[in-house]
Amino acid sequence: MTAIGGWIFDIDVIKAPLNRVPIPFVAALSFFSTGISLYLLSRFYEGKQSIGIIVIPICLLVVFLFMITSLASLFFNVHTGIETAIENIVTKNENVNTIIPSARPPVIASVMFILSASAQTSVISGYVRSNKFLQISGIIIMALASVAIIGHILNQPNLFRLIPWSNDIPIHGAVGFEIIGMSFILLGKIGYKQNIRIETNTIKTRLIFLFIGFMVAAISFFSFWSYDVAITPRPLQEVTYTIAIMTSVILLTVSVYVIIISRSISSGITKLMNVSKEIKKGKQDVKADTNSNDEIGYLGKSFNDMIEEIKKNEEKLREIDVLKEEFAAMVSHELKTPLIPISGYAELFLDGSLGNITELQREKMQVMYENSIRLTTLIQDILDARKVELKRLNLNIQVESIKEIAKRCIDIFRPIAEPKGIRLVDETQDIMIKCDPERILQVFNNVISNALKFVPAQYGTISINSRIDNDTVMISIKDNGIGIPKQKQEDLFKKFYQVDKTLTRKSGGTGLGLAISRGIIEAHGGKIWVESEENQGTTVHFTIQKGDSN
Amino acid sequence: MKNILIVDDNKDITGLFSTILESAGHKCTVVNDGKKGLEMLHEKSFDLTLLDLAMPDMSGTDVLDVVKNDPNLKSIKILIITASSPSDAEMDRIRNEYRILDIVKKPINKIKLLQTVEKY
Repeated sequence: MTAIGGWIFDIDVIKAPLNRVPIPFVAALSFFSTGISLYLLSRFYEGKQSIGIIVIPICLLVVFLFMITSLASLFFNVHTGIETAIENIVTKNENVNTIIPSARPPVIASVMFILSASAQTSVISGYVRSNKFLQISGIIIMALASVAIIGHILNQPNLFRLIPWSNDIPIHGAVGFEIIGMSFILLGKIGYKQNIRIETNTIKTRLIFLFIGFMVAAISFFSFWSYDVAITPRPLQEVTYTIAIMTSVILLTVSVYVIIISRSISSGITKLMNVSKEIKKGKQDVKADTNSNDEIGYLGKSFNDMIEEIKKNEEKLREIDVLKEEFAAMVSHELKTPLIPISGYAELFLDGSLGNITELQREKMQVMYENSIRLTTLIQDILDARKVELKRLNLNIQVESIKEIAKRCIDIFRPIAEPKGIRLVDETQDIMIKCDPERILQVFNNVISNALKFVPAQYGTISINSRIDNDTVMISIKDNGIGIPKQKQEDLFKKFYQVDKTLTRKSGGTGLGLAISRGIIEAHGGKIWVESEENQGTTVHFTIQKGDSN
Repeated sequence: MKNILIVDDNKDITGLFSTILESAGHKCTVVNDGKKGLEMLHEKSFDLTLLDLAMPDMSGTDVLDVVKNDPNLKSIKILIITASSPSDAEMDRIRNEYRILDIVKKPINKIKLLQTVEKY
């Protein structure tokens, strides 16, 4: 503050106390700023993160000041050179191209201020090893300042001129640097112990660091070059050249930085994009491997968390599915078990195994039997419809004769058909087919129980036919019932579809039979379709692969 | 004529099965839990055993586990008759893991029961 005041009010005693070399105005301003930023930094360490953020612009200001100083000294050199050259031409008639510049830039002081600025900025930006960086910066600053102080004690105030880049540092400036260095070492120690760092936007941090690094490089170059120009007279043309090259280098460096940064962002995003594509394809075990410690890394991490969450939910859904299945199996068991003795004994009454019964008793027993079978079929159908829907129909494939299956089917329906005077005719050939016999029997049963509802009593006929067609066998079940209108034939295989809704109540049925049948036939790799003429009858065809002929 | 053991916890069902099978001339022994079924298998020899899957205390698969590891019961013929709807995967597992004749799902009517018994 004092030094700044000295410069503002132009008081020599304050500018250069004890008749020492004055601290330059820029240096004074930098000391002042560093002091403020150090105070803020200490608040930051106490947990006041929002205050700490202000350190960054202050530090940048310091860097900027020194850049200006270096540039100024360079242009001062060039300017002086040109003036000298002109003077030489006019007065001494010497070589036009010779320049003799002067003035030395404060390189060592610059290095110290820039180091302090970077160290502080790195802490605020949450750079991982920032606390170590702060300590190391502190040590370097103290060492450099010590050299200056020793120089002053040995009465060699221009000691830094021996390290030939810089102007000397006044003793009070050097003491100031010692204090800054000490503070850094202490702060770094505290921060290291408490592992203080904040999770900020690290791509921004990277940009800040690149900026600071770039500035340090530029200033060092300018300073060194200014010094070089200062001690070696050279042609004006070469100076102009160098400025042009430097400008190109700066542009090139900036381009490289931009490419590096944009690549680090885009490669991460590409990775995430690929992962999300994989997930879309249905892959389960994918993960985004964006491990970088920046926004893309965090995005990748939260992306992975999201995948985990989705997986967990899927797991839960699967569990619920298993529970549902278990529940369905349990219910079907509990419902079906009591029906077995009911239908079983009714059947025994009907076939006379349990002694003779009257015609009236037989008639009523028939009703009991049919209804118990209906109920059993209904329960089975509901379970099967679900299996077909989920495509969980595992087939127990065997080679079986069509005739055998047809016979079993007719045996089942004979007790129902015969009392009504309906004929069941088996016209199949003894052809072997590759199938799950139980499931194919179910298809037969579904089709025939449908047909039974629509054929007229007394002269109704249902016949089963088979025909070989290359590798497949076509099975046709034909009835002479009421037929199905053309426009309704398409819908027959839909779940719960009934051609005539009023008929449902009259003749029963869930409307699931044909949907299940289609599921079964399709699971066998076959086709099922209907041919029908109204009042002529209906034929259901389906194809099954032929089994080995032997 | 076959000597048949029926193992099922439901007495109505064992009653029905034995009525049907006896009317066809088979000889039936009925037990209503898995443990007694195993005892019976050790005591006498049967031509065929009809085994239910879902039973309290000792289920059908528990019985099958014991049978599998008992060299004395190596030659017995077991037919699974179940009312629960095991998933197809579960049925495949049982078929592969145990030496059984077949799995028949209830409901099973007279004709089917007799046919199945004749078959083995």
